[in-house]
Amino acid sequence: MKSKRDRTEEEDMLSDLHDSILLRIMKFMNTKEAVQTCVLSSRWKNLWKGLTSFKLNYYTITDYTHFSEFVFWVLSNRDNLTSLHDIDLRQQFCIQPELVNQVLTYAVSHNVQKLKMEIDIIKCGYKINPCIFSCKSLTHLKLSILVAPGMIELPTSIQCPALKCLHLENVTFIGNDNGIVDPFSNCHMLSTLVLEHCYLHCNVECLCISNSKLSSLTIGSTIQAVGYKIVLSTPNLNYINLTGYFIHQVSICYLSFLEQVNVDVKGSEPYFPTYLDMTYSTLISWLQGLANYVKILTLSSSTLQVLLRRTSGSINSRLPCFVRLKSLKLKVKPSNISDEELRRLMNFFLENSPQAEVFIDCLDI
Amino acid sequence: MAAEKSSIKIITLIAADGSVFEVEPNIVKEMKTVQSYIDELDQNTVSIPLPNVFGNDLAMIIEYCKKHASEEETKEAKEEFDFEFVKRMKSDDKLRLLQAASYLNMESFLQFMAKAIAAEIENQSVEFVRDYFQIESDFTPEEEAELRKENEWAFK
Repeated sequence: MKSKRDRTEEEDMLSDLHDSILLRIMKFMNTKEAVQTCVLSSRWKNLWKGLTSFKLNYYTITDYTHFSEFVFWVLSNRDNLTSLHDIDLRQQFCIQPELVNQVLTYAVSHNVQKLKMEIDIIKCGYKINPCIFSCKSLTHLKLSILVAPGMIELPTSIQCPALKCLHLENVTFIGNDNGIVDPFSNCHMLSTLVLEHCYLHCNVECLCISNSKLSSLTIGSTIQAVGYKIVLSTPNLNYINLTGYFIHQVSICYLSFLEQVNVDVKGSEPYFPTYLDMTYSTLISWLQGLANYVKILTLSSSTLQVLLRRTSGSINSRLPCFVRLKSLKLKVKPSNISDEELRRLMNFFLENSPQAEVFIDCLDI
Repeated sequence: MAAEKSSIKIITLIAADGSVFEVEPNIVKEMKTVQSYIDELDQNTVSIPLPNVFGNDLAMIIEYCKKHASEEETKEAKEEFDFEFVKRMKSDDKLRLLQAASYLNMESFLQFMAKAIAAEIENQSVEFVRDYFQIESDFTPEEEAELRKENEWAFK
């Protein structure tokens, strides 16, 4: 008579498949579900411990205490000799700050490549473990840690030699003595950078983004009352995306590879009435800086409103000539912009951009 | 991986049930097992037996490869195709295709099938997953209860 174990191996349809293939399936599941496979059969009992990814979000575990306990439990029960390449933790409720630092320490010592953390913390003076900002194996990093009150502080320079994509939200940059911060110049592989709700420490006035490899840059909203200056020293830049409440003046280097610029700034929302002037002058300074390079320019309806409402008469004198512009895409909400205003804008762009074709995308209808 | 030999025009793939498929070299690029055959041989026509893949499955894999190798198809069209491709498959088909992908050493198709299977078993009961993979548990009820207790954070 066959033992129970033999029978299982015969009948298990997946017995031909290597464990690594089963781990591939489990990698697409959230880690809580993946751990649950341990009761399927003895073959599966310890399989999850070899997972190289850790994925957990607030849909899977809504209770924040449970969330933290589970994260600690996984880190101490998975196979400690197996790398943890991929971490994706999202929780909209507040979790223990120790958890974040422990995950970061574990990640760095287990060759993490992709790390995404979107979480909230309540703790005054919380200091993020800086080890992640010098991690050698890291290729993708998204940090969106909302600390109330305050923001997490970044070191003056990020030293991740393999980092390709960096997305930072709700962080404060600390500068050097001369009031400048230049955090990205040592990330020699960086190609995509997204900055949202990023602050400069009170003694810093200028954020330098200097990087010779960077090709895509997105800069989002700020809720800081005073804008700071952004200096772009990014000769390989191909794509720029500007969004939200936008009040940072800019100084731009020679951008010979620039193709596409998307602008979706907001200036006329009721909560930020005073931002309109600042947003307008900021927008003009960016457009002037980019006018010699951009080939495809997309302006959102709210961006057009900023351009139109601020200066009914003087727009022509302020807006630059876009010498290389091939394609201008205007996203128009007719309820916000009249035909006459649209015609005025188009005439201006057509006059100043000899080669440009204009595409209008009506959003309301 | 060595570049494909320009002299080769057509690759003949012979499935386990003897059915024959003639494809262009760019279709089998993804299949590393096939590609290593081609790289070793030095002749104009290549005929490759695939004793671990059935004709029906190979036909589906080739259909997938053709769609994804096409430069004319948009990204959206490919995504739509992927969606429909998974939708018309039963769970057995998915597991067989996963095995075939593993045998043919097709990285992106393997990922695609693994993801499709994960989506099917995620948020399902242990009994459902056992049934899906045709696993017979070799745990006694006491052993299983003990395991659930040991891993209680995952079962809350």
